[in-house]
Amino acid sequence: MKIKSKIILSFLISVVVIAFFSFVVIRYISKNIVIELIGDYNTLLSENNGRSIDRLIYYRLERWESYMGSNREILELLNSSNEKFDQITDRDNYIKNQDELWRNSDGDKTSELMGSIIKNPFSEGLRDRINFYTDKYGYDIFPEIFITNKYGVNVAQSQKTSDYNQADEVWWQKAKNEKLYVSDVVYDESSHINALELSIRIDDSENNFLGVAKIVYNIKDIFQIIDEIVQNSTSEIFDANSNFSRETVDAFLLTKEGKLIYSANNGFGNFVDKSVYLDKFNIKEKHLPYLVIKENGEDILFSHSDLLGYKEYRGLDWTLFISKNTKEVFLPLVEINKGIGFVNLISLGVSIIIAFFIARFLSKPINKLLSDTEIFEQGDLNHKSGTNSKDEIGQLSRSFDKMILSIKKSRQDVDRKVEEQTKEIVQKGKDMEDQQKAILNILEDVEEEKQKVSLEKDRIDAILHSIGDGVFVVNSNLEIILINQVALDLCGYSLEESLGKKYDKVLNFVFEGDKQGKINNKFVKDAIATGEVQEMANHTMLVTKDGLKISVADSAAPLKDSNQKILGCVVVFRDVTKEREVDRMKTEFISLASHQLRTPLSAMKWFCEMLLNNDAGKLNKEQFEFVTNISQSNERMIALVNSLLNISRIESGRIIIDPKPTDVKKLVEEILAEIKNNIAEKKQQITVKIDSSLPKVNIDPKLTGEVYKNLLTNANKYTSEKGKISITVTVKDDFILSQISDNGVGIPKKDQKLIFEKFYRAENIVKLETEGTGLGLYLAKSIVESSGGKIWFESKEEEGSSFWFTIPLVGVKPKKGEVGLDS
Amino acid sequence: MKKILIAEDDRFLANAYRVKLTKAGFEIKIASDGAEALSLLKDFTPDLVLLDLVMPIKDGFGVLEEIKKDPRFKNIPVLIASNLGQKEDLDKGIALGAVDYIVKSDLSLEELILKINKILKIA
Repeated sequence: MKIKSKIILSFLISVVVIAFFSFVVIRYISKNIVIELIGDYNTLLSENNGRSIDRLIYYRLERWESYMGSNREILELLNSSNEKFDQITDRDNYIKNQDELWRNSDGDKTSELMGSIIKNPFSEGLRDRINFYTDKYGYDIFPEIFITNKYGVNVAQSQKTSDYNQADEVWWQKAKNEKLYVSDVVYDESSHINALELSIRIDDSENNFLGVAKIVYNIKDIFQIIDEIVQNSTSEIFDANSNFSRETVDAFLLTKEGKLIYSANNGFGNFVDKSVYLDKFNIKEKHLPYLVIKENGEDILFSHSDLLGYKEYRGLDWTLFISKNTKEVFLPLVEINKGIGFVNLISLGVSIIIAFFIARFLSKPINKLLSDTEIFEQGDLNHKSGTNSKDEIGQLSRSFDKMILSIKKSRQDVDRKVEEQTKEIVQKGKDMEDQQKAILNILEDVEEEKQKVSLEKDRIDAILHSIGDGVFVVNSNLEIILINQVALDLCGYSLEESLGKKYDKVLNFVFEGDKQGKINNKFVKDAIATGEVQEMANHTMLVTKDGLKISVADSAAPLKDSNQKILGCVVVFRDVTKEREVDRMKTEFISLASHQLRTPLSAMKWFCEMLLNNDAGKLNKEQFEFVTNISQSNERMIALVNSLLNISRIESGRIIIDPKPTDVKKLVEEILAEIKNNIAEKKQQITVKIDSSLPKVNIDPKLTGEVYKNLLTNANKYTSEKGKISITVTVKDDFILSQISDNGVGIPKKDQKLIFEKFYRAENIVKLETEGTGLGLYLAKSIVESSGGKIWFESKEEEGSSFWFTIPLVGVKPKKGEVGLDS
Repeated sequence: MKKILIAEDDRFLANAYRVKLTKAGFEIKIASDGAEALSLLKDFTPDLVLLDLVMPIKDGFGVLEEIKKDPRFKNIPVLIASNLGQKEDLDKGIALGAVDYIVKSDLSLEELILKINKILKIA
């Protein structure tokens, strides 16, 4: 909401609030004031009228009193009656009798006594008096009068009374004692009048008691007074609104006990109990002048006064009430309220106008300031709002200007900075462009490389897949990173199942002979661990996905990078089922063949033996010679068969190497013991130098022993008598070096290349000794090399030979094969 | 006199056994196949069995098994004399309960008799 509206609104609200409050307050106050006024007024009215009523009653009394007291005739009547009765003896009885006579009138019949009294001139006179008053006041104001003498006996009456003697009556007694007595109002059913009974004592001029007069006083005139109260109370200006005039105002008279005598609006009260009003006013104690009482949902204002009598008339303790409906009481206020309302409306209108002007006046500078900010918003920093006023708005305006100035300044700073930075950025942008170009170049190069690599990879894949053997490559974590189709076909898994998996999940190798089917994958790990090519043991089988076993031959070669760091391992394997089968057949054949060959040989051996032993009779010299030749040839044959068998076994790679911790020294000594006879025969000298600190080595003593045996027997065979043989065994680096030297015939240069070959015997020793299989060195070499060692020699013809061979200190790896060497 | 039961299918070898062993003072009986060897056992009750391996009907290993199964004969020492020289044959023979194993073509008769005596002395 705009300030203008706010100001106007606040004006209006305050005016309205004030008006409202003032209205409410004034209304409240004015009501109370009016009530007070009217209440007091009515009370006064009630008091006046009450006094009037009392005075009226007194006036009547006093009139009659003076009449009675001044009427000679009545006085004379009374005097004579009194004298008469004074003289009556037994007056009481007389009166009683008279009384009886009085009563004995039948209905309308008047007794004589009664008639004498009623018809006497005084009674006439009374009747005349009554008529006089009736004419005077217009109604039967005094319907009955009668006079009694001092003894209470009727002397004159306007009409008949029921009793003759009134002396017992309260009123007679009271009147006699107190001179005046007024009885409380009564209602005569037959005549339908409300009346007071005035009792007046009649005295003579010397104040001697003469008698009592009783006058029935029809108090219609008192009622008139009450009626007039209401009539007069009706304000003339409200006459037009006749609704209010009659019922809203009432005046009514209550007896001492609160019985309703008369009310202006309802006439004769029938002595209805209205004592509640007296109670409410609590007249005796608080004496409230007026009171508002709720009757039938309406508030009625009640005023009252007590009629306390006048002069000798002591009053009947009546109460005169005047009631006025508060609606009528408040009537004047309506006008006032209308007036107030009118004034308020006017003031509201006026205040709106005033507010409007004030608002405009106040909001003008604010709006100006607002429009200044808008100008600033548009971007114009040079505009000034320039107010000179000293109030807060002026201050605001000046602060505003200052603020704009500082903003302007900082804007300029910012602009400057931005300019500088923009230059930088532009420069940087250029730099980045250059860099970007460089990166793009690099990316192009990389892309080229990638393509090259991709091509290379494709080539490798092509090569791999064209290899006829199964190939797989594992990384250092033993996961398959490459596997070719042949390998997949052999093992039965798919490419997805194998790539990335640990190889032993897919390619399981077991020993053929291992009943538990123990997995033998160590060779791959060994290749990675040692960095050396490993071969699986013979008779390894590949377990396919379906659980089939295929005989395979394979090797694992470690993959090394240019720094010789081991990256993984390449394993190549081949289904060798057929080869194995062939091998097996070969072995069986050899077994069988050798057995078949040996059998007749053994027979010949034994028969020769028996012959030579003279078991068939003594042989002569020639016979002995012949049989010896046979025997020796036979032995050669047997040796040949044995060698052939060993060689075939070695060649099939099926020799068992059974390493155990062996004392090499002891082994050599055992071999020496075996050939000691041969050496002794040729009278050769043998020097043995064995390093005593030789550790025990894991070697197969049988096989290694065979090597020593071969070399030593060669030395023995190919050295002449009295020749020298030496054997030296030492530790060198990580192996045991054994050297066997002789000064025998040596090996001719041209033969040196071939001496390790099967059946090869150099020319010079063939001449020397026709025996010899030519297999010894072949065997020795096979054993040494399969034990992880090396064998070599140096030899000069006719000077001798030296053979060396090494046994690795780490020992020989056990090799599960199928056969051992035939000893 | 000690009794030797010889199981040998080659007649020449069998002949050689007969001559030599009889001369050495043994009572011998020769079976030419595995089945005959087993049937001779009961009646002959030898002190030693000289067993060839390659024989018709039942081979040496089979005979050895039978002998060792039979409570009557399982304590008779068995000497295997064969021309099969492979380590596994040797091992198998010993495993089956033979007391020793010789390769005929490598051993002279003299040496054989020495061996027999050695075994019988122990037995």
